[in-house]
Amino acid sequence: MTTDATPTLSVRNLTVQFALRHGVFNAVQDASFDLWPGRTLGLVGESGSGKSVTARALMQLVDPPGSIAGGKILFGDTDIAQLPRRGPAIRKIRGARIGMIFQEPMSSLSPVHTVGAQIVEVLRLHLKLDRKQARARTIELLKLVEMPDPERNIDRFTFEFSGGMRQRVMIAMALAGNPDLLIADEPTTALDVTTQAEVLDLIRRIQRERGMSMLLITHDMGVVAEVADDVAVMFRGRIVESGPVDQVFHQTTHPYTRRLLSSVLKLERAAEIKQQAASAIAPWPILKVRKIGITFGAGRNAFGARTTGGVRAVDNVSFDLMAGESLGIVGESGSGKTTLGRLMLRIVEPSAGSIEYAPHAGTSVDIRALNKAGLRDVYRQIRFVFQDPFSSLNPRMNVRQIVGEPLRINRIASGAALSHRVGALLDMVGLDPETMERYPHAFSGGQRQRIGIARALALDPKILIADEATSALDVSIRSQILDLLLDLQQRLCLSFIFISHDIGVVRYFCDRVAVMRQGTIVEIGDAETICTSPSHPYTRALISAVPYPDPRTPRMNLRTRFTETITEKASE
Amino acid sequence: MTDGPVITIPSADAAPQLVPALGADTAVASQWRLVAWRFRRHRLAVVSLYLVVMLYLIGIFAEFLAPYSTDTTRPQYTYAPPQGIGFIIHKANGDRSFGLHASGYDITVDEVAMRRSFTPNREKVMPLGFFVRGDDYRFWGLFDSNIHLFGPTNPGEVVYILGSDRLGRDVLSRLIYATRISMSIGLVGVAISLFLGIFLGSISGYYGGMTDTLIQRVIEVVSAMPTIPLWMGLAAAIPLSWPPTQVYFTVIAIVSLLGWTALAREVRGRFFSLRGEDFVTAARLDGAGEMRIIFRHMLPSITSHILAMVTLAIPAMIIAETSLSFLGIGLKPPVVSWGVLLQDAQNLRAISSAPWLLLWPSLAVMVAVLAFNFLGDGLRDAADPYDN
Repeated sequence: MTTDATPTLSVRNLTVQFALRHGVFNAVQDASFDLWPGRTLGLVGESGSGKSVTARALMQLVDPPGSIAGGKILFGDTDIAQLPRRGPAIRKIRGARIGMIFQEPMSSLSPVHTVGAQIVEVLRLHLKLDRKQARARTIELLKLVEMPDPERNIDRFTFEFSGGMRQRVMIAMALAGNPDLLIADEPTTALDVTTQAEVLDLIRRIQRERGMSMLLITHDMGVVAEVADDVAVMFRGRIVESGPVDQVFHQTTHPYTRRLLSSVLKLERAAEIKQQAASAIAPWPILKVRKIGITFGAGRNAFGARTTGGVRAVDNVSFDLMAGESLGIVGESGSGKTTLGRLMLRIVEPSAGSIEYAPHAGTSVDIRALNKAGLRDVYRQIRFVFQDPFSSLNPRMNVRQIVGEPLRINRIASGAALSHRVGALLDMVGLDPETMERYPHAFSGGQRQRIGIARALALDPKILIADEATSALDVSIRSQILDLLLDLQQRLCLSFIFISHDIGVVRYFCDRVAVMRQGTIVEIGDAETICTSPSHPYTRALISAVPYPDPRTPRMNLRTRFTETITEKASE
Repeated sequence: MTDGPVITIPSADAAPQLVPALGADTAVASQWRLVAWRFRRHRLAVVSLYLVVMLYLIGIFAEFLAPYSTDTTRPQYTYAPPQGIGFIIHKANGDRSFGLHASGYDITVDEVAMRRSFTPNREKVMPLGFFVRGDDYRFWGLFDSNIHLFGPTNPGEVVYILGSDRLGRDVLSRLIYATRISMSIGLVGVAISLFLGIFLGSISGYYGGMTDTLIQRVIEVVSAMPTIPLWMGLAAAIPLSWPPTQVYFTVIAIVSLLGWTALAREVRGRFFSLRGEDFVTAARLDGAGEMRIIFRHMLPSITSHILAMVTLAIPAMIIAETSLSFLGIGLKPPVVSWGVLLQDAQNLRAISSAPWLLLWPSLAVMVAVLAFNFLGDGLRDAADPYDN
């Protein structure tokens, strides 16, 4: 493989078990792989595949009831699998010779210590540096991770930094002990796509410069294609396929990998249904949004009068939604896209603008002017699909009650008729009607999202507002849900407002796209045009930062120029 | 990939892994069934649950369980120590026979110290039996009877299993009757707090804004009052001429007056966090009215938490009643509660000559309080079966 003949770390037949009430569950089974100096192994898999458990096992961080049940983790001369979970032996390796970057920079850094203090602690523990040396070294490390003004930022607290900056601190901390191996567990999953590109760039550069081995754990095939040298694909605790990145992507052998890749690649272009001819009926604007806006955090003074200031979460946004159309709203976190979706139904009360809803061509009502009864009437026709399939279903109600709730409240059906309707709705979203007595906890994420969709469809709506409806789902489930929505759109003549941070999803699903940034729409237009030749520099930066799931055409190298323009703009 | 009725890739999410034995049983299990399953794993709490149920049963069937009534006085048996219970009867001729019995005492009167001293005498055998006739009582105020679960088979004999008090009354019987009063004070008191707490807490948490501010300020003012002086003041205001039942309910009202604030705060906090949950927004978008959202969607999510809170609030009530009665400003004789019983153990002489007067009632209070606390802990841990 490389000139260096010995791997930094080799894992042989690793098995990690979790003791459960009813027997034992193998989270990782018989996993073997090698980590070579100067190379990055991408460990990919969907949620629950055991990839994170594998990473934790490498540092003896599997907590009871889990335990390493078999296999070897050879790191130099030591077999980490044999070391006790607590004790000086493993502590000498953890943080010193193996560094780890966690997914959530928010929760893996202490909020009550300064950034510097946390890195200094690592240095003093592992390298036995004195206070002064440690501080100097910390500043060096912060420089290395491209933290601006490290002399000053070293004394700041983590909450003063953005997610990307926090992740840089995390990386600096992982590098503090001069590790031979860096384990990065979903290092960019919590970050926006442009920040992700920067952080990935940084990780890759540092890893190459130092000749470290790296284990990159991710669910994102695009990230793997951009960063990894080798790939191992995990499925249900087993490594089903591994090899150099090009081989895995282009000479795929295992059917699971093939399925995974095809569902990823599918989202790289518009859906096939979309490419067919448009419908015969002349569309009218079913929803006209004009100059809508909301300001958060404008306080009141002691006398109750509004003071100025506050954040304009959505600022002067206007657009039309045509009947039968899917309008995508994309943007990074904090761009106001979720708030915009909620303004539409006055879940959050807008402070300015108008929303004209025209169920038929010619008639229209202003949603903002409606009273409670009128609003309830609109709620029947414009329905909402939530992002989180776990918190959007009441765990204390069974599926029949959840899906039947709007029918019961609006006195459309009850008793046996209700059960019948619910059964039909479940059938429509591809769930077995027999399962309606079950509670949400008996369903997987994708199935729960289908239940949420069934609830939204219960009242024969005209418009669905889907707020990140697929972002909590694994990629293969994601494309299934999108196909379901497309199918329903065709059958039921629905219009969609589809809010997402994922450009691939929007391109696949939507006819038109609006790009949001800092509460305003910077660009709106045909989905294909926006995704292939955007005109606004921000959109260009956004699109180019999306990792492309093919190692032969890395996209991120072409990104930098745009990002710089953006940073300049942002700092204005 | 086409969208089929069954999700073909089973790695959909982590849930099936965390609960691999997710059978049809679990799938249709409602909240309460899941709570019960989790609760059962908490062994100490299960034991406590049995204990609490037992204490309430004792309270309910007090007349039947107690060998004597609370006010049967026998001046010749003041401060009689607990009598031993035995199964084997030793006869004077050396023979032994089998039979449940208590052994009697020889009583000598010390003329100088003016007290009686009791020395156990194994020769004096008082046979005990079940379902024996003894003091008359009116069961639940409904029907007359004189059958007791156990007692001396000869109604003329007296047996003090846990000793007797200053007036020669049976401590065991009084303890059993006291269980009824003390345990029910906890329950009724909490019911009042619960009503106030849920009502004000849910309004405060759901509506927020001015309503919330107002209710919270009231709660702060109420909980800023020093408890003991307030109780003492209120209790001192109870007219001495009031009948015992009226005093009983007044004491409950006083005790629960301050208990509701903590409950209201907790309910408010839960409502606050629930209000932001997607499923509550979803209910709103389904067209549900406010009352339906509060009672159908939000309240079921916190009922198990409320139950746990209530269980943890009852011991506080019991302690409050006991302290008030001990200080002589709560319940007063002839009503018997654990606190009233402890009044007898207030002076050193009583404790030195009859330590059982202090021992048994305090033990009862401790057992009850601990059982409720463990039960509440177990319920609290089991209350939310949906977090992992």
